[in-house]
Amino acid sequence: MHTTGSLVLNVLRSSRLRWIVVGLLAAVVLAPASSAHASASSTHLAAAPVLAVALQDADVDADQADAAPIVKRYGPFEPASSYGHRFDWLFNFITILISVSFLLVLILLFIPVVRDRAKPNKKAHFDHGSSLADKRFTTIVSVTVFIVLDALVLYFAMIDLREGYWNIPRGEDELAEAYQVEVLGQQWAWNFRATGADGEFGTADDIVTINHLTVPQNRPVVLNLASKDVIHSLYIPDMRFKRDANPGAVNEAWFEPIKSGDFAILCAELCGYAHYQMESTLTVLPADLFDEWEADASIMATAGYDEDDTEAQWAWDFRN
Amino acid sequence: MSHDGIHPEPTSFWRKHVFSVDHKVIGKQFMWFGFAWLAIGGMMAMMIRWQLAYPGTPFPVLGDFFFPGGVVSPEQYNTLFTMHGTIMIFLGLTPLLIGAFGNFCIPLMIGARDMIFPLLNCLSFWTLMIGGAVAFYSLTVPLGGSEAGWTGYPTLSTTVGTQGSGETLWAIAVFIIGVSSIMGGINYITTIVRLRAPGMTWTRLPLTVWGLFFTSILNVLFLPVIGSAMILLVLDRVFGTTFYVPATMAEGGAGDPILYQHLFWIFGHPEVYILILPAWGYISDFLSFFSRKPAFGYRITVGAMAAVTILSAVVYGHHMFTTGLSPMLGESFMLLTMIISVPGEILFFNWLHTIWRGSLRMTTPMLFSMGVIFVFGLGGLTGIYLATISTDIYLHDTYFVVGHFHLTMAASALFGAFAGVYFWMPKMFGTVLNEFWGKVHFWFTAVPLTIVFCTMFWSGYAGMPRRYYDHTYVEYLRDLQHLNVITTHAALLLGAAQVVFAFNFIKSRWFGQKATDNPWEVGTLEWTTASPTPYFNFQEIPVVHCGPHEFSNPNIPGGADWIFQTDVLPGEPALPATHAPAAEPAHSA
Repeated sequence: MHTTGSLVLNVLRSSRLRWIVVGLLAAVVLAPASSAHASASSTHLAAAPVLAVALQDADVDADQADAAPIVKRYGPFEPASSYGHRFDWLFNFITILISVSFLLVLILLFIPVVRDRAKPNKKAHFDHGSSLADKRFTTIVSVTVFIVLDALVLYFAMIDLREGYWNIPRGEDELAEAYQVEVLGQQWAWNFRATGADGEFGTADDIVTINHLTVPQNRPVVLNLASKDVIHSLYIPDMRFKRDANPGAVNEAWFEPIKSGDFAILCAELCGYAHYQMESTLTVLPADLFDEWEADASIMATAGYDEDDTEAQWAWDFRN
Repeated sequence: MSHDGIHPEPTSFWRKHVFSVDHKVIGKQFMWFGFAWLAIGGMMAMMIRWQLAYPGTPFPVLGDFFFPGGVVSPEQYNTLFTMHGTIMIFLGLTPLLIGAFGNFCIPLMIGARDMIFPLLNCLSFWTLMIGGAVAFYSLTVPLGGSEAGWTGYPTLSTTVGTQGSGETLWAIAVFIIGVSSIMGGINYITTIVRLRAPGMTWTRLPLTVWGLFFTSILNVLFLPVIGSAMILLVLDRVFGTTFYVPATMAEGGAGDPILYQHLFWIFGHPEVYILILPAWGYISDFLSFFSRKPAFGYRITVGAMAAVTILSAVVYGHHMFTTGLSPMLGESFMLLTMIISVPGEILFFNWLHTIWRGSLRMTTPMLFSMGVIFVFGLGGLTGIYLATISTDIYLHDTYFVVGHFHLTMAASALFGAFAGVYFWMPKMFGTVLNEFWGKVHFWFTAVPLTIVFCTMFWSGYAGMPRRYYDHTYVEYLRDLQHLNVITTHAALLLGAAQVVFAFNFIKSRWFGQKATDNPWEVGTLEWTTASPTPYFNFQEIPVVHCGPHEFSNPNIPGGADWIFQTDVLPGEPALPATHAPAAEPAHSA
């Protein structure tokens, strides 16, 4: 054995040092996890920001001194949509469930490692685990785990889907109250088209923008998504929103912003070599500011409308 | 049983070492093939990670050979992660886990002299070789290799999104590799059904063979699906059909890109079980072997693996929750995905029960088997976030998914493969892998690997999408770059640890300590013959009298804690006379 080799060998042979290695592994892996649990159990609504704030590290990189200081982040920002807290709550709930499960697995794995090492004249316990009692026990354990782990999560998820993600405003009254947007992905930009002040698509005052979407606060935003070329996916992390934009078919989705401000829009589906450059901006304005903005934008849109510019009128023929 | 028409031992170099029909030689060929591609795919992973941590800086040392100025370009980056996935799955892990150990172990473990179709076996390997060659050639064509991801979603993978022949060659390569897997699968299934030695009943099969059996069933059923998807893709790209191109994009187009996603994932989800089932089989055996205890609940373990095999066919929709799948279908797939976790959890229960109150020998194969419990536990449990639609919507296509599937199908399968290499090395090559360097290899693989994929959970949870060339370009993701740096450092360490393995393997293979016939003291049939195995495997076809896991059985005479499957346990009824041939079993304890 070489010098380095014998050093490592000594580390492995000395049981105390070996446990230090294991301890380091556990520390690296579990330290952030334990703080995640702490925040998860504290409160349902604002768990994510707690996690983000608790772990915030104000280290400023020396090279970036001229730019704005970068605060290290370990989780998403606080949800900005009406159903965003549902994701955060269920995520934390699952985190607690699986942390307990994994801890159990680890304990059951490490007890035999420590206790049941092979020793001279020691024989293992002979058991095929094929008795009726064993089968019963296995069945009981698996049914219990299914109920506690899977069925419970399934139940909450179904509620969230019915009341949140899949509760898309569809009726006429609902749609009249909602803000409707058509989204067309392309390599590599997001085209957005809103109805403008008259509330109807396909008129001269349709507000057509690229890489910037402006929506009102506290009103459902109903999106119809499609793509010009390849599959894209509209991803707004702060709204806990994601929906694919497919060529040749229209996808429906919705979210309701409950906070005003600027938010990032990303593309989540690989769409070519500039996939990473599809960052766009979502601006959420309070009702009064939004109405002002919409009126101005509609006037500008009407002024700039050119009937012959078919490029600006997207092909939604496949819609019906 | 058709042992009589066995082929004679070849004498020429070509028939002996290259176009051999001997299952042991073919198994070794698959092994070297798998190692070579794992090295290439692993190096690609290093390049990907380097670009993510230090975007725009030249890749150290090797960068100048592959990239202009040493820096990965966005197109090359897309090619890198596309080929990393394709290579690792189809050319690295599949040949190693299924090709190498399937070929080597199945005939030896069931007491046969070769596969039932030796020529088909040879053809399977050389078809794979052609597939690998096409995949490699696709990297060198003008306009670069495939850039549409290993999933190859149209319309990005049609000529709408990727020009040049790289993508076409990629599809052809996947098709050819699929043909090779189907040949292997048919061979494995038929061999296991037809060539079991007298007394080797279904409940006396080692769990390794069970795992490979179920994998082969999935291979035969689902590789044709991806084959058909690839044919349609090639037709779209080369002959101007529009299976995947909708009317909005091509004159007369009548296709739908979502059709491909269905075809791909009908294959793609069983594929992850194709990779993990053999690993489950190996470690179910190894945990019993090195705990000196019978595998707990043998029949339940087999039943759970069978349940996973069946259910794996009906959960694929969970890859498509954001594509616009009908809510009713989505909820059905969510429920089915939750159900598939039950057999997985039963397997955990049985593994943990197997080592409980055993007499544990902490050898390297045992460490890697326990490593599978650790990484598959992490990966499997985080799957719950992704099976649940309302959490998957946010996490889909982020690094969370990357962390999850690497832990489940990549790390677990890799650990299973390493356990197999350390365990069967004496039988394959007649030498023992150095245990000390094996343990160093284990710890320097397991710890960085856990860090690599766990930091991915954090970055994915924070909203970092996958397949981005440069996360620092996006303002929203700049404050997550430190996680990328940690991941990359751990990944480089993980890559370096494999060098330890390579040296250990090469040194032990040619200069290592000679192995005894049964160094691990286990009773399955492959250990009843010499190390390395003679050409005909067994002097005479063995007769099996007991199961593979009779460890610490109090009835074993002479104070040993193990017994060969060919030995008769006192107190157990011997085989009926009709099954027992006149000859003595090859081994006598």
